Amino acid sequence: MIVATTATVQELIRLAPGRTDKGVNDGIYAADLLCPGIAKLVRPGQFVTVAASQTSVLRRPFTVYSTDGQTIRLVFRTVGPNTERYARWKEGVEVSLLGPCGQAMAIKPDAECLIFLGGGCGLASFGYPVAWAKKQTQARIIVAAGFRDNRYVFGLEDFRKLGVELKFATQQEAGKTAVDLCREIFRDESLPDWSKIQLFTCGPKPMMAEVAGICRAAGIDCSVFLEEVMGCALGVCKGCVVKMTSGETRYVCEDGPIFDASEVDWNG
Amino acid sequence: MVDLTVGLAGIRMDNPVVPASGTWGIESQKILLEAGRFRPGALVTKSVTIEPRPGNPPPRLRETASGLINWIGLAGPGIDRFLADELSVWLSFGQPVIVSIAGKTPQEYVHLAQCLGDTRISGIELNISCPNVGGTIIGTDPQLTAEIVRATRLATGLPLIVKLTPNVTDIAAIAKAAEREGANAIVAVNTFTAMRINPNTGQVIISGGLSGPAIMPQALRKVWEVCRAVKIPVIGMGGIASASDALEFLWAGASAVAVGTANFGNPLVMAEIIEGIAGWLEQNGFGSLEEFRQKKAECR
Repeated sequence: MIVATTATVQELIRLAPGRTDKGVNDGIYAADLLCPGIAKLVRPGQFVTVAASQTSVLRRPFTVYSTDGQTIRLVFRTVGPNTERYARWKEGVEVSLLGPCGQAMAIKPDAECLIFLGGGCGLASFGYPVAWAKKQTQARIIVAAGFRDNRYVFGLEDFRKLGVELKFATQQEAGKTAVDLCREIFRDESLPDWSKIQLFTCGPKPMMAEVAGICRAAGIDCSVFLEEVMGCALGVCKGCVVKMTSGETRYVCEDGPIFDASEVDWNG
Repeated sequence: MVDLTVGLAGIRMDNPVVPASGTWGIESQKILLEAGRFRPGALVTKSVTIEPRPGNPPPRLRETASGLINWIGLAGPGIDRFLADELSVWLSFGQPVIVSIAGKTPQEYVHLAQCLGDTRISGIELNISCPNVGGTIIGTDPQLTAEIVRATRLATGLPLIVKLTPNVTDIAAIAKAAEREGANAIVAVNTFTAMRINPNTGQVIISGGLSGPAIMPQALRKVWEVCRAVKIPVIGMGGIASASDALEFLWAGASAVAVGTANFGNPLVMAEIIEGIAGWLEQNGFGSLEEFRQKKAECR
């Protein structure tokens, strides 16, 4: 079930400072929104959409970062006028929310190692999935995050608290990308057989395409969290299309946001 | 509350607000029901084609200032699967259902209309104005418009509502052609052709149809032209996002309004528009929408 509801902002936290040359509000934020209706329903990997300004006709989708059954946390980076407006939310502000949308994630029953590979703000998609997976499975869980810029590093403490293995690097300091981290992890000899690994990735599309290629070559199960401009988020408007290698079409909002990377036509 | 009932093309609606084809689905309807708000006067489906259509490659949507360019390309399951899987759900809501159909030739419209003949739907929308399926838009040609309406008219007794494109010099002439050949109502307007180009590379980002508040004043003008040209009722649409927008279309002569892109921004917007129209009528001393229409006719 998907509901349209009004949520109340409980708290807004600036997780990463961003770049001062990009404006005073630049950065990465966490917004805690009181919305029991959605918080009770949401499953890991699902997203909500937030109403935008009058000159933006489309709502903005965000994966739910965490939930306590009453509130949900959204983590977002300021990328335009709408996210900049969200970055100025004050406690008590009412926000129009629609959700939970999309399909929840699933863990392969025989997976012995789960790897979550985030590129930049893509890491924000993994908050709830990792917390859920930790409770759900005995499998080894590795969270890896590659950031381009030190000023956008966020979330590491949250994952550390969950008690999972954490690897991260910034391109600025370590000269390593998320893809480099992925290769590094795969060199770890204590990993189980490739067929017992399940990898989830979220980040810029070229990064995900590269990771998908590496996994395909190694025979590793790879799931990607995709993003597309979304009209209705309900499977109605057929706007957020994803082309599959089979020639079929899928939609991020109703079939996704998580897709089997080997089925996605990365040139489509 | 004020009586908002509208009789349009033989379809009795509780209120004059309907969704634009392709912007409202079963999931949106469920959200509205869950919220316990006013329901649209009728339900309008996404345009159904004979064969299943995958639609166009990405990107299919791009936002512009107060607008949205879409290049969907009539993605859908085709008439057989629509009849088997979807229609019964649409009908289960207990509201009038208008099925939108789109074809390439008069014969295709006839076939689709015949397929819908034995169903409990309340009317058929002839979408002759999709800008995203290649070639010229059918509805820019008065003669082809006339042929399609004439042929479909002979094939079905269901009310026919013809959806016009604004991408013409003289929309009144097309509306008259549709009326002459037996259309029961007009819905106007579909999207305005539009595009965006990457300013750095010169590459076309998207080329499709523009909708949303950006087109509202242009759409209003086209609807006003249509309303002056025909006697059959007109469903006015194009960028309507509020009750005050809807009232402008009603003043222009529309019997009802359709809401499209605004449903994406707010899935409860049609309920708000219905409430807003009722509130305005009440404040201005009208007991019913019909009374407003009569008063308006006298003013002319």
